[in-house]
Amino acid sequence: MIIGLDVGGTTIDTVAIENGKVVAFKKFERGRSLINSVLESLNQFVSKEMISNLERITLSTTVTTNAIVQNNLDKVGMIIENGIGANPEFLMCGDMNFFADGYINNRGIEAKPVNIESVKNALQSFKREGIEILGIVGKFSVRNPKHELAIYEAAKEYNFKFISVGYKLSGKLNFPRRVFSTYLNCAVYSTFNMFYKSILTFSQERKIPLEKIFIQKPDGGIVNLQDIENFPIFSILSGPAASAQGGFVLSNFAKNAIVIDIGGTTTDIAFLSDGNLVLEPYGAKIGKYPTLVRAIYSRSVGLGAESIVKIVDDTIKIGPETKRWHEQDKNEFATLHDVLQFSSSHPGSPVNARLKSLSSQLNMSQEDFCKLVISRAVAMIEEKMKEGIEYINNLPIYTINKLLYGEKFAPQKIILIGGPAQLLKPHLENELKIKVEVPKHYMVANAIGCAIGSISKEYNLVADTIQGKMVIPELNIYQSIPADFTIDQAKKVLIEKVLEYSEAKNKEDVEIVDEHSFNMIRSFKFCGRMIRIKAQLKPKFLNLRD
Amino acid sequence: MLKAKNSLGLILFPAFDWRISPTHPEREERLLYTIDQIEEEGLFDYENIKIYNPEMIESKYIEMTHFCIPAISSIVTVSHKIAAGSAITIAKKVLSKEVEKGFALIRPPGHHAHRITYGDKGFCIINNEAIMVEYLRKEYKIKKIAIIDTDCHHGDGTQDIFWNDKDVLFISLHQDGTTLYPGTGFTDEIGGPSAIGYTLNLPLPPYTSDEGFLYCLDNLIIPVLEEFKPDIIINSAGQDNHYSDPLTNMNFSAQGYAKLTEKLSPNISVLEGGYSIESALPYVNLGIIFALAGIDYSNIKEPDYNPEKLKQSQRITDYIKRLCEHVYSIWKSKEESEYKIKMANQDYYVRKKSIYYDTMGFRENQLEKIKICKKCSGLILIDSLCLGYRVLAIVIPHDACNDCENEGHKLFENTEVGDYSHILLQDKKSFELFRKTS
Ligand SMILES: [Zn+2]
Ligand SMILES: [Zn+2]
Repeated sequence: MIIGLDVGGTTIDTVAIENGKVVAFKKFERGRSLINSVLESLNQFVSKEMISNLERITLSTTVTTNAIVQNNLDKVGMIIENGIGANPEFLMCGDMNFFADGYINNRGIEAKPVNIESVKNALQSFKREGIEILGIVGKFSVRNPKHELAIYEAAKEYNFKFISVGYKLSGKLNFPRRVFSTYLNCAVYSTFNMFYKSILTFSQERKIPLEKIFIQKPDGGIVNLQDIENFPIFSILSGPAASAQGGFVLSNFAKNAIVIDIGGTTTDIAFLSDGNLVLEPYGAKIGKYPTLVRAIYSRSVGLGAESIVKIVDDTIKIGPETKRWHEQDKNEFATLHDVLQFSSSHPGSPVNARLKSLSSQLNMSQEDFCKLVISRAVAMIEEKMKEGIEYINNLPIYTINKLLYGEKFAPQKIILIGGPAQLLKPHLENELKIKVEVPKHYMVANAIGCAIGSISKEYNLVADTIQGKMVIPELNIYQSIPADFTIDQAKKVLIEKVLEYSEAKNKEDVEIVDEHSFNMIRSFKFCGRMIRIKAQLKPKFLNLRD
Repeated sequence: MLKAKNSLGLILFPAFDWRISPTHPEREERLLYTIDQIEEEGLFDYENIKIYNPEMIESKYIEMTHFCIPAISSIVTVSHKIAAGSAITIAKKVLSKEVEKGFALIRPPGHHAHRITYGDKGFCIINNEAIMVEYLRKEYKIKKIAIIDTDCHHGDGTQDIFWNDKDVLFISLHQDGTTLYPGTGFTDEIGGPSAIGYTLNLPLPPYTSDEGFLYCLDNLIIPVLEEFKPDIIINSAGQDNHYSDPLTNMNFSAQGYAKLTEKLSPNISVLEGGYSIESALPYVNLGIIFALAGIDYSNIKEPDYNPEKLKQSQRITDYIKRLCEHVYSIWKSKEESEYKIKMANQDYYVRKKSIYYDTMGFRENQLEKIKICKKCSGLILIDSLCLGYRVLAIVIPHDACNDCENEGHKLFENTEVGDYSHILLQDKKSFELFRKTS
């Protein structure tokens, strides 16, 4: 038995899957306290029988995202080694920031040692100001974490409650994002800890071992609750990932498609290219911060079934306000759901009366009015779809072969999920002239996506034979290699390491997606190789059979 | 999200799957560390810095710039076509105002490629900036263009192509030709009879530092540009003046390049040479990008940067001062010189050229004749001998008068193929190439 729980804008969706079949599902109202709502939903939904043969529970929650949006954050001190580049002022995201002197270059070579004495002074002043949480980030630290680790060692003496080092969050290059990711990882520490503890209580009360409780990450992967204690930032923005994955697993196989999840408040759009969900090239944007948190690339429109349709200055406006905001005067407005449900055969219904009052303001028949609203809504979705397609097709290309022979992303169909999917389907199909598929269980597809999870991951190996060093930042591997190390050896090592340290069971699960070996020439002589390889762990999904 | 002062379009095309030979200095590694640096700097995250993928150039634009012998298909590689295509892509983005400025970080370079090209010369086969200029004139009707070549090597190819073209002002700063390939670019190379003074060369002594480069900019290039009033400024942004470059002997730094770029404020920059791939390119490129985008670049310094060590001698300072005065006087007296030359050469202005293809080790001999015409810049006839080919190349300039145009077509029609392997007529006015081969 696998249980999935997905917190949406208006509801908490739960689902139970057994032997590849959805055996139960339920939608709960989302209450004021998010943590309480999650616990209540879990308590109501998870029965004794479910626990008896439980494989796992996966939670996709917006607890940490909310903390960021509501600015409910911890005080953080940041030690930043910014080195050569832009003026670092814009990186001052912490409550106290210190710029350390030192530089690791792009090959991971120490160009200037870090000044530990001045760092110690900064740490002391952080403590004096009551800062208990510390972030440490250096430029090019994923190529060589020496300086971050030296600062970490020095900081240990000061008894901070929580310390996060930048290189552990992602293997990708992008220093500002590394700084912001580290900061946010620190800043949501207390919020996540509270959530963590309440889930801990739930697991103890219901006698569910903690090993069976997972969190969904924004890239669609799942991670055990215990493993993410030091990486609370990985619990953010999992909603779009859940729906993208849900749509993906429920639909008939597609190589290139768009997954659209129309909910109550928003519509999320994700992209399936060459059989994989497209990821953000660096990571998610959280609040105002771009980060290195691996995430599914999605576009969002403030448009859902409960979006209010109104007339402003003789033009139709849909959303982003929802019915919830106007609970009192329900008869004064219509929602997108009302419009989608409109039927001229029930002229007397209260829905039609409201639509009549709106349409008369524009001197239109109800029918024409509804048509117009729907085409406006479809256009809003279409705009974001096009934005995404254009974006994907403009991602940088670095090789001639790819430039000349690489395929452009062109979706074959739309996979439409979410409450009003059936109602929207014919309109999308008519207006966009593209096949639209509404899979079974479209109502709780996101909870299914969450329950199932995936293990798609990326690993980068950078080997430098002049230095005799190799790094795989994602696996925290920094080790020596011989001077005659070759690209074939590198590929072999990367696959072996991934198999050793990841969920992958056999070689076929690991795919080399990019490989380059550059001869390094100094004074016109060959003196070594720079090898760059990228491997991907192919996502594996449970097969839903019905 | 971060925002730069100026919107900037970038093409970053390292061509990771192409190289001349395994140890050739013009190789894949050249842009690898630059991309690392740019990625780590988070430049992709600035909301008004846009990255574009390049396009392939259409052969028509190559034909309107070069005579490729024996044919485009046999000497121009895909990567050269993409490099030239990148220049076009970035020009389109700037001219359509999608971005204010553009920088194409591409390889291979192009500024050593002459009007007639038999193959690889100084790692160049076709001239990226020159092709862009023909494109801009044809598609955007741009008239006055300035090309400032800041590569350490003389931009001999670009100079050759616009030698007799008053609408293109070409200024090249480079290490003195007596000490560096291609051995040209002296102050007496000042343009053809109809464009005297529109080619200006600043041969700089070895070990010129930031101070010297910026002096030339302040005291010669900027004043000349103010008088020329170009519609567009293009920078052939070679980066081999860097103090760590293995092929050259100059003392320019990343700070210097950034300051130069800020002052010059080109609309479009195109990467040329630069072979200190590890110690210079990442920092220099970052400096240029920041300067173009109007981002503070004061913190971009090479890890081993030491301005004291790079300081130029008083002798160099004095020399550069005299050099700028001399070249400025060439610019100032250009009308007078043109008159004198036209008086002295009533019919055709003739020069003999010998061009060495360093990478391939062969030599081309040319006899170039430029018609002295009162109504236009004049028909150009070139007789070229190389690799057993004999080529008659006829150029009808874009501003050709009817007489020159007719004369060009007549000459093409009436000349027997006979001894020639190729008779080619490049009609820039009608944008067409005519060809007869044996
Ligand atoms: Zn050069
Ligand atoms: Zn004429």
